[in-house]
Amino acid sequence: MTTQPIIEARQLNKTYSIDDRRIQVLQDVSLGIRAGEFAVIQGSSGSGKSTLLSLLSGLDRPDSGTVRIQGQDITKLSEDDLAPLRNRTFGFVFQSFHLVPSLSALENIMFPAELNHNPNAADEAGKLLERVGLAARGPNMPHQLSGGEQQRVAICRALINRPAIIFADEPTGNLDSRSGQAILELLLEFQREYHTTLLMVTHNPAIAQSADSRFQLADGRLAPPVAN
Amino acid sequence: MLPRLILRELDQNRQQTAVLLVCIALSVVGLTALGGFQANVREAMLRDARQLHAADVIVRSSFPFLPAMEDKLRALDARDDVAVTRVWEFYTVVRTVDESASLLSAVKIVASGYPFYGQVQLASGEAFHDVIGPGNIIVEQSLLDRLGLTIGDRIFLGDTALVIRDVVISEPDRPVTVFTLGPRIFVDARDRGRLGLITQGSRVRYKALVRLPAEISPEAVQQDLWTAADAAQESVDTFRSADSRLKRFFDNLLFFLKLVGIFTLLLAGIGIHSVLSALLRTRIKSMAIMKALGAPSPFILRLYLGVVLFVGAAGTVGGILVGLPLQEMLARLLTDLIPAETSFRIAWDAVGESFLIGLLAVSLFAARPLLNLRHFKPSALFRHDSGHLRLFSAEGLTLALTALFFIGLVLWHLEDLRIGAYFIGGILALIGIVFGSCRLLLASLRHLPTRHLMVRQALRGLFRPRNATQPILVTLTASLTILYALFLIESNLDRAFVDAYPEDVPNVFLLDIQRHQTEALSRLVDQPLDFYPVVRAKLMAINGQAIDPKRERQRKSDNLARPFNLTYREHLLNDEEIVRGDALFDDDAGRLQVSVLKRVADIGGIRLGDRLRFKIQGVPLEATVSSIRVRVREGLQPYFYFVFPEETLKAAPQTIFTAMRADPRDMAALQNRIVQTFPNITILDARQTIRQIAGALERFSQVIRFFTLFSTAAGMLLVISSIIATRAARIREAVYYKILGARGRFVFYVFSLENFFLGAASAFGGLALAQLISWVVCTRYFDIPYAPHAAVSLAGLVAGILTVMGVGLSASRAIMRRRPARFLRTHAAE
Amino acid sequence: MPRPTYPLIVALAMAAVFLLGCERTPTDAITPPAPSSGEGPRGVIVCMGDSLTAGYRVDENDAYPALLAAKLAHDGFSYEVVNAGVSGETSSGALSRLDWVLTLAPDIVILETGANDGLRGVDPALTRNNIDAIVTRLKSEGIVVVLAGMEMVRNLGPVFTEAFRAIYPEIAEAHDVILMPFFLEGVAGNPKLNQPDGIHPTAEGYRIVAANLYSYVRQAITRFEKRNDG
Repeated sequence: MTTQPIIEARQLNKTYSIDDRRIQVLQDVSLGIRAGEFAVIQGSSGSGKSTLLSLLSGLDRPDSGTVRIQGQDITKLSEDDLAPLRNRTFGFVFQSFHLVPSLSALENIMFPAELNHNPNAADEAGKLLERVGLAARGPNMPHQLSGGEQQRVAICRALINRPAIIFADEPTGNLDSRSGQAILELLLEFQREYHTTLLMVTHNPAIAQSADSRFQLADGRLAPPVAN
Repeated sequence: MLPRLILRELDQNRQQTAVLLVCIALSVVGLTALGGFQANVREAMLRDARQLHAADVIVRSSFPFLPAMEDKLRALDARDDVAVTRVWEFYTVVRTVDESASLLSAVKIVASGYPFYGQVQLASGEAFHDVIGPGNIIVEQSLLDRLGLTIGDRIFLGDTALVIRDVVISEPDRPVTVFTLGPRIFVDARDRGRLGLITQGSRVRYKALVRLPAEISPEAVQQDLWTAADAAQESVDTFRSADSRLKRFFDNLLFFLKLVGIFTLLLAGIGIHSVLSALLRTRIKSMAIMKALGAPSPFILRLYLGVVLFVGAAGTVGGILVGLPLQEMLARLLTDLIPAETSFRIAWDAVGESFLIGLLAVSLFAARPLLNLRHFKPSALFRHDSGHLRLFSAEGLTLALTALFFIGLVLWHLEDLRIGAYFIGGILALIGIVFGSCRLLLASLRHLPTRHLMVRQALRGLFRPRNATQPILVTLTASLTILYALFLIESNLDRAFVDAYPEDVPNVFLLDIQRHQTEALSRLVDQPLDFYPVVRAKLMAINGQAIDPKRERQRKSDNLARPFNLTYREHLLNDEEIVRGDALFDDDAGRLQVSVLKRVADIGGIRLGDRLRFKIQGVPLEATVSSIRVRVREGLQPYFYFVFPEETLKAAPQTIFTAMRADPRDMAALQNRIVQTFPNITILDARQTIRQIAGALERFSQVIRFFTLFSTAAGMLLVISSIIATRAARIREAVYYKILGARGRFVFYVFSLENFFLGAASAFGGLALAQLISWVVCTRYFDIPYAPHAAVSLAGLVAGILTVMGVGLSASRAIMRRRPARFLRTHAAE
Repeated sequence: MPRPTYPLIVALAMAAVFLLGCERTPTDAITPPAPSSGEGPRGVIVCMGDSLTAGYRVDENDAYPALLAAKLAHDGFSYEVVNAGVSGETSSGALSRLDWVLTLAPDIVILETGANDGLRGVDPALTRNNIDAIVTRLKSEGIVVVLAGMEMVRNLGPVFTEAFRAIYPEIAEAHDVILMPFFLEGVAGNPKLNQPDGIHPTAEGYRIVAANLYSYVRQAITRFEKRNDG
């Protein structure tokens, strides 16, 4: 491996306090992910998968350690400095979709592009919707969509600014196996087409099998990486 | 199991529980403090009223009491626990013993026991009855000044010389509405016969004052005395029934306070309802799970009823604990406002009342959302479709109960069926209008096309599902309406009364001035005077329709058959405004014109352009109404129903009067100068009256201001709580914005805008309604002219919008600087 | 909405103006002309005075001018009787509106004034001067004058009431006008004939006043007609 990793984490530690108890969620986690890779973080419930994803994507701050995105340390950045990164470099797909409830499907997709002052936001969002077979659902509000449909809208939203990295937190976890499979295929399809780095948290071994690299978390510690 | 679950519920929603608790406590604090204050004010006012009459029951006559009345009074006096004393009042011309000067004076002959309530204050500080006695009199300072006498001198009353022993500073039962033609002289009843002034052909006010023990009702004694009274000449009053203008004035004040109390309760009720709704909204998932696990509806109902009752009881008790010291604080404030002799007690009935009302209000306001739980289906667990969550749909029974509760409360507080009915009708109309206009506004905003991202996000924010924008908008608008209305009413009362008594209010009135004396009089008093010519005349017909004296005399208000005082001038007075017509008179020189005061125009249904026919001491005169005026202040400034152009009335028989401000210390000399130069001019000294009025008004405005502020505080807290109640949805949205790459500034602007829309809509709507309400209250109830008070309104508008924005932003401020992950975790699965 | 209570100040303002002789005083009335017998009235009688003439709180038909008019008509005297009473007026006010009264072209004037002077403690000398001036002017216009004598309420004290009472007979004698010694003879001080305020006659009281006055008016008519005929 000669290329510089697009995501590089060093010695990440994270502790939560709940009432008087302190729980070490992550302990000395270091990893690197190359650009264009499909990487998977695996582990059982409570192993710290989602926390690790939060730290890598700047949604949370580690107690110690660094996260470098394209060589830049994001752990010291302020929320406002993170904003352009989240808008243009990252795309997010969550287990529970997290669509803005007051915006229609189309507007949800447009939103990041509009924040980026893209004058063609509506057109591009429309095309993406068409791509995922939801052209007719554009004006619908999120609560009027099924889970699978919401997740497809969320994927479109994550992709509209052509981000370098997509963070997906158990994107199929709230879906039945058929919808889940479809979502997964969609994500991989986009990843290949846009040469995007895809970092996905999952405990589905089948998905993990198809990943370029896998990180296994157990009790907050990372097992040595396994390359496929 | 149930208590444990209740505690768990409370614990899990600590923040909302706290808000609900504060809301309930606040309403109870308000009720306790206000109720207690009201009770104390009422008590103090009754005591005031008693002092104003110096007795419990008063019998008055212009003639000696008839034997039947004398018998009754003697029988009363014979009782151990009842006391009766007599007072005789009349004017007389007193003379110095050297016959060099004389003066019209107001004599009050009093016997032992007078006054039963209050006291006569003397300059020497000695007790009244230690000074008054046979041969001794007590006089007002101005008598000494005008006759050039000192204490110890003697003066003639009739043919009897009496010694001036002291100077009176104040007497309790001096009628505030009477301007005195001369200074007061107190004479001992034992000198009555020897004066020889009370005989056949004398004009004397005979009074009998009766003091009763607490257990005898003055009304019963009044009834008894009535049976003996000759209605043609004897009148019997209690201190409660007597036509005391001061008391009626305080009745108005009490009514206003009741209004404030009910408004406060209404605000609190709305607050409780909105917080409770928000609380239940966040518990939908728990309920769904419990239902899915087979918990029957009654169980869930009991659970949340338990939650509500627990919070309700805690809030009520807390409110009372806070309210009690506040009650005492208010009582102390009141002591400064109204001179009181007895100490204040805690109004336990008010405490009990607030406890009951607090619990009742909580249960009733909670009943609707709680009862709707029955229709709640556990499918909510699986679907995120809020269309199925008809948690807050209307529920006939509880709506009716709530309405009934309020109607009862209002009637109980107002103690007047008709006004209560108006009030309730008004409140219902208010809610209806607010509800309807909010719906309309939201519907039109929903489809408003906008290209600007922030504006669109802000507008969309209003319609986020389960955001309950409509209830919040209704709550905000209703509370702002009430607050604005209170402020506007207060401002108008202030303008009409308090501002009408500036420092330089006239304190001397000069009447019967002849026309040729005006200039010399101005020179004599050494100040420019406004002279008001007065022409006596009768209104004969309106548009050819003759005035019917019999019908007119049946009017409760002023009637049109009495003689009026016309005047002439070419300008508006500075306390007048024209409400119909362009100017006092129009340019049409061809016809006679008259400007009419709105009060009399309302009585006679007189409109612009009507023809009024007058008869001025035999000479007919027909004029067209050229304008209608109102007075903007209810001060002591002279005013006229009918004003004519100068040329029309200049030749008519007239006298002239004027009002002026004189240095009180200089008053006696001034009076002497005027009387010597112009003996025909009558001088009315209004100093005492103005002192009393000004004092009363000062207290009045302080009390009103205090309660308006109190209500404002309550209203603001409710505005805050209703916004806080919906913060969960905002925080979630802020997190989404951030994840998608929005800067803090974007979030800030979007929320500012959204709250601005919310604040502006409710503030503008509230202000419009408040203007309407206060206009109705001022013109229909208080019967004072109404001004919209643009500055106050604008300030209120800005304050309202800023508060809503500030509170809304502070509720979402936490998210701005912190990493979104923890919000995602805690708010993920709603 | 009812208008339950004018606040204090309104009431006070009203009271103030009442005392100023302004608002809130009752009826003065121009009585309708007496029914004319054929060729119109033979003369005009103007009743000039204060509230006692105007008729305080009684129907205008119950005040003495109307009663007088009815009695004259009944007895076949064709005279127009004008009520020119003004409530609250003092003798100074009466003097100043004399020109206006004269525009009514009276043949006989019944002058009843001065009571308000006395009740306000005005120096009797001023009242005397005013009435003297009025009578002088009326006589110079050739008008027959009936001067209604007035007595002051006794509580003002003997010195004052005596000075006041003396005004009327002295002026009547000096100017040779008809004097009715006391306008309220048989009425004053009687609770049955006075309103609760103790000074204004009731309708019944006015019947006595009118009856007492009648013979003096007849005297005046005799004088007037004698002068006209002669």
